[in-house]
Amino acid sequence: MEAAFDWKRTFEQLAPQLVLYARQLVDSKADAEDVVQQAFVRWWRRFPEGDSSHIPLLYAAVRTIALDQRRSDHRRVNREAKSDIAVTGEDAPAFDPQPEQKETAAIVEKALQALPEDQREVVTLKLWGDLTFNEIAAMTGTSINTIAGRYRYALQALQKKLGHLRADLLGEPTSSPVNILPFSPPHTEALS
Amino acid sequence: MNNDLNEHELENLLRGLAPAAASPALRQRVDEELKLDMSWLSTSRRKPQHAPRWIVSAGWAAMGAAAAIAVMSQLPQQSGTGAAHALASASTVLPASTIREWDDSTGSGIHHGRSRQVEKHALVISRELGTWVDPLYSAQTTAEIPSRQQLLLPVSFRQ
Repeated sequence: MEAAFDWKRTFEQLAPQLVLYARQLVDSKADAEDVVQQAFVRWWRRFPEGDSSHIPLLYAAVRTIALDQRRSDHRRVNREAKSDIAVTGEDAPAFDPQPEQKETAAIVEKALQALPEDQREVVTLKLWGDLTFNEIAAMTGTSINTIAGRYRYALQALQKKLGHLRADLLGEPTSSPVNILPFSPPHTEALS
Repeated sequence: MNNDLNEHELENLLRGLAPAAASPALRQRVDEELKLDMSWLSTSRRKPQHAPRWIVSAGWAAMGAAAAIAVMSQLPQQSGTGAAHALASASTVLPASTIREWDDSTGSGIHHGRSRQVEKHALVISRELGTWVDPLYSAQTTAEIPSRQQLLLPVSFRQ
């Protein structure tokens, strides 16, 4: 029964990123989890070894199911009526930040939501899904140049929105450096 | 001083944010759905075959040969039931059949050999098809081993 536990380990590793990606494509976390459930079960039955080389196919399954689900949202209404996951709410945070990252996470989430969907999708797959441009291009049926372009535009847009966080996040000084000498340097005016 | 994040810093910042965990209910639902159809469990023990077919065939052939040798070496020392036990425990791969097919043969005519005997040389091109089965997985494999043999056939005439 060792394999029965393998899916749990793989699921624990991949589920947060998968849900984050699905959330870029559907309206709520509840919908996203519904999509991830279907995609993961389908993928695991096909590849029960959990081979990492098949992970792009899992993201592709999430994408296909999410796009299908978007077309028929009546299923969501039925599911939420009989499931407790609806309590997670539409505005459940997308990230699980450390205490010092909470403010940043909220800003990032807002900035991500402001991006066009195709850019948001590429950023999510690249940064949190760890997929290559090649893999993203294959799963979305788009050229690699288009994918790289979307990623670049997305980063530029995010840079504009998050640039002011640099000092807070990276500890870079924004004003003149603090004088750590035990005494003030001599004034040149006094010597002249 | 430029306070904007450069691309690398921005990527690090974003990657540093961990996506929110999936709800326990999701994991439970996946668990229930996978339990509904456990057929994937039987396939999970199979490894994907990336090796070329000839390596797989040769591997099976080698395993079959090893199993056959192991079984045969046990047979003289064991009683009837002991031999059966050895057969079952020696290996999960068992030889099932061996077929030799002649593809071509050419003869060089009848002539006298060194010992003054009448003989005929023949070249036989054949294939040996060995089949091994693995009862544990209900698996079966067939290895094809080509061969070219020079045969020396004695010839006799009616007096």
